[in-house]
Parts: sequence; C-alpha cells; structure tokens
Amino acid sequence: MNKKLRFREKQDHETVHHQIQRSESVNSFDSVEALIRHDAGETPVPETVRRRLQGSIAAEPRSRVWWRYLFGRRR
Amino acid sequence: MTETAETCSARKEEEPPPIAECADFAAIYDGHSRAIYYLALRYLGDAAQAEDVAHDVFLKAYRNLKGFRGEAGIRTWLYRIAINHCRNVTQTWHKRHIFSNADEALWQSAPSDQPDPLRNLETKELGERIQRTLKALSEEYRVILLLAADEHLSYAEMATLTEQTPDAVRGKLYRARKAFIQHFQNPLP
Repeated sequence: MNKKLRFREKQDHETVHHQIQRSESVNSFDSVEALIRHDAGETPVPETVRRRLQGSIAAEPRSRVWWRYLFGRRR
Repeated sequence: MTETAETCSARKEEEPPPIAECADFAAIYDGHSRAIYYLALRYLGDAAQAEDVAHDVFLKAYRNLKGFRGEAGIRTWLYRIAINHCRNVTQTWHKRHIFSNADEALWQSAPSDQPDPLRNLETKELGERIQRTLKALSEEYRVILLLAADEHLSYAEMATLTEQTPDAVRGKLYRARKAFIQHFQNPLP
C-alpha cells in the first residue's frame, strides 16, 4: 500500500512538474503574434497538397497555340 | 507534319518555356504554401478543409499568374484568394450544417518530424489551445491576428486585405490581441 501511495505521489508530482514546464513555455512568447508565428513554424504543409496540385496542374488544358501550327497560322 | 525553324521560333515567343514556368511556380509554392495553409487551417479549424483551400488557392494562382501585374506582393495576392476561399467554405458549411470530428482530424493529420515525443505533445497541445482561442474570436479578429503574425505583411497590406485603413488595422489589432489573451488564459469549458 505504501509503495502504491509513493508511486501515485511520484506520478502526481511529475504531472504537476510537467504542467509547470508547459505553462512556462507558453508564457515565454513576447506577443500574441510571436506565439502564432511559433505555431505556424511547427505546422508543416501536408505533402498531399503538393501532390494534388501537381496532378491538377498536369490536367490543366494546354495552350491552344499548337492548333495554329497544326492547321497553319495563315489562312 | 514537321515544324519549320520559323514556326518553332515563333512558338517560343508566344508560349513561355514550360520548364521555366513550372520552376517559377514551384518557387512560389515553396515560398508561400506554409503561410497559406496555416491561415486556412487556423481560420477553418479543419485540416482536410485547409488542404482543399491550399490546393484551390495555388491552382487559381497558377491559372492567373500571367495576369498578375504585381501591384501587390505575391503573398498579399495569395492571402486575398485564401481569405475569400475560407469565407466561402464557412458559408457553405453553415448552409449544409455539416458536423464533423474536425478537431480530431486536425490533430491526427499533421505529421511532425520532431523526434522528441514530449516536444511533440507540447506542440500539439499548444496548437490545440491556439485553435480553440482563435475559434472563440470573431472572424475579423481571427483574420487580423493571423495576418499580423506574418512578418512579411505590412500594415498597409493588411489594410488592403481587410478593406480598412492602416490606422483602423492598428486599433483592431490591439483589441484582437486583448481578446486573444483573455480567451487563451481563460478557456471556455
């Protein structure tokens, strides 16, 4: 029983210590903008966006200039 | 049918080399995608919607790049497209009354390359807290804070994007910061 109590106390202490550490990191920003900038820096763009975009661009209609050369520029 | 040297040369004048064009656009994407995606993510609070918006914004930019005269910076132009897209998405969402586990999807879909699990957790929790705080603000305050956080934007550019004067932007930003801090420190249950 004593071992369980000591283990639980140790867990609680670690939880509180972790919370304090986290709150200190949150309060270490100079401004709201700095906080948001930090969050933005930690937020990568999913690679799926690039792949989808590449697919969409590849599917875009090509320039129609080539039609002129197929049928001749001068009529 | 083979092309003559004359027609080939004429074609090059009318049609920009595709490789150079792609390289320019790739540079635009690499330089601005994070900013645009982040704005969409924090505006909408939904990673899947943010991906859609980011894709649509850059596709639209690609289609209209030749017509871009450069009156405003590229990033300002992209932000304008993104903000309009986000507003359209929000209006469509309200019309359809679609409910989703957006918060869960948000935190599951963003990969992190940080090896430290504790750091990962801190980053994730901070992001969640910022998202909840921004969600509690008006759309106007949310947009102005997200734009102000971008160091590439001037007050004049923010004013253009939000359709008000730079002085009005400064005043609104001051109030937005206060509201953010209030909600950040006293989150709703």
